[in-house]
Amino acid sequence: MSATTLSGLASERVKLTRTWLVWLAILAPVGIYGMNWFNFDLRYEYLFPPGTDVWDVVIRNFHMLSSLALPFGATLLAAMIAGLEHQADAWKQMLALPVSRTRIFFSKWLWVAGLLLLSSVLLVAAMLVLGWQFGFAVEDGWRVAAREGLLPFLATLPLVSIQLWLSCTMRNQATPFAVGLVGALFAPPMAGSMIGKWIPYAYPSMAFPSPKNPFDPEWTAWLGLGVGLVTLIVCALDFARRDVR
Amino acid sequence: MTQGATFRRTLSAEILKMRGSQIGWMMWLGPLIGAVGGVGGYVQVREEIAGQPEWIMLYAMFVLNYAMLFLPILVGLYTAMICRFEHQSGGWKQWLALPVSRSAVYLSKGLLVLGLLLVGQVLLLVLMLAGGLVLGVEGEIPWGRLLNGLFYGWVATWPLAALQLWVSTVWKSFAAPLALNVIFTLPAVAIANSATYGPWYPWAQPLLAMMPMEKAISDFSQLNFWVIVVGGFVLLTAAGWRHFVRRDVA
Repeated sequence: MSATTLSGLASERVKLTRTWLVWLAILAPVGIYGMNWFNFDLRYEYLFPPGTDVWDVVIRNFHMLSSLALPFGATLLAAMIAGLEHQADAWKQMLALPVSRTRIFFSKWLWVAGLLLLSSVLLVAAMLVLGWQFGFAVEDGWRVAAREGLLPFLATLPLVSIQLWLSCTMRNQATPFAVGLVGALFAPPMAGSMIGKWIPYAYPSMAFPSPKNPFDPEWTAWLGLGVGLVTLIVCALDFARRDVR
Repeated sequence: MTQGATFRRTLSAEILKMRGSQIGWMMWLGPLIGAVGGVGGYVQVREEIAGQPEWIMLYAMFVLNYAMLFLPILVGLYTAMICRFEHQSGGWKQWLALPVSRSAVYLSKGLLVLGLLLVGQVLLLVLMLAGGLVLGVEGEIPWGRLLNGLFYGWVATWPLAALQLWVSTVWKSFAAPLALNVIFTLPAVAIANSATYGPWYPWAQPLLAMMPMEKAISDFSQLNFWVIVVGGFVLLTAAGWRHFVRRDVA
């Protein structure tokens, strides 16, 4: 990584210290953990009858929340990270610096993706801790928990590019927010239709590493990574040739 | 000018500002999503629920899709949009430098949000009737129950609207109040299931109020539920209002 990319990342970090984006990334998995603790405690008998594949039930219950939380997270983090510039009318000042615009877009993208990765890693820990609390063998669970952490994260990368592009190019964050929201809520019916399952908003819910998932989670994750990188380049190039107000 | 006259003027100024925003089409978004989900859900379960009152079932599918996630999120979107104009480039300073009272500004924003939410409920009803006619839902339309459910669902959004208005006026960032709202909306479904905590949770209250179950509010008596809702609304409005009147704006 070149020095300018690193300084771009560092300058974003300085701006982020005054916000609670990092807290958002930490609190979301903690919240999902808390909800599932409540959930398991309340209906343990129903969820884990004798002879169940316990870790499959664990990741299923986490996936129900995380497959919504990841697209929402991408939407909110992108809106907040772009909102910093919109609010202070800082785009002009920042783009007047001798830093290429694509670099600026890349460093914002890396921050959003990095925070989502942080959330996903914490989510893996949360799954294992909760499983351990309920007496499930961690050595059987870490592999499937790691897959449930990583695969949906990779499948969310296209949304990071798309939402960041929407948020950076539009002054009014209501539209990107509405797009992200509708996309996340309509993921299940999209995944169920022939054409809809190719829309990136459907990927996070499809990348579910369970034998009961009709889609191939690994393939979806690779698709997410590929589409994520392609959309990153396309969005960065488009961002670079736009007029800023 | 009397208090009433200033209030009317601030309210009409708010409505004018709103016209320039995107709230016009956003207002349709929530009810439309509720309708798409509701019609889709109804078609799926139609066979299984044969013999049940069909309009009530249709209503239940609409409400389940709308009030569980979308309505609470929409409340936060409205309050954020209604304060966006002021947060940009010193709008608060300009607005509050005019001879209007801060109370009038705050309360007219709140009233506008409640108005938008009411319009949303009416749109949902219109789409529900249209959906029912298209699907050929049989039986007499249970007007009483539909109107009751939608009206009380609207009242149950008030505490959340008061909370989000408070947060939206304080935080400069547009996305921050939305983030707060989404985070607390996600677990609402689970919390709504809990008889003890559900009625206290502003993000679950609209769903609880709108679901057409006989014992919708579970162990809580109806009266207790409405005491919590109205009490929460009064408290949160008073707190946000007082804070807005006293604090410095940036």
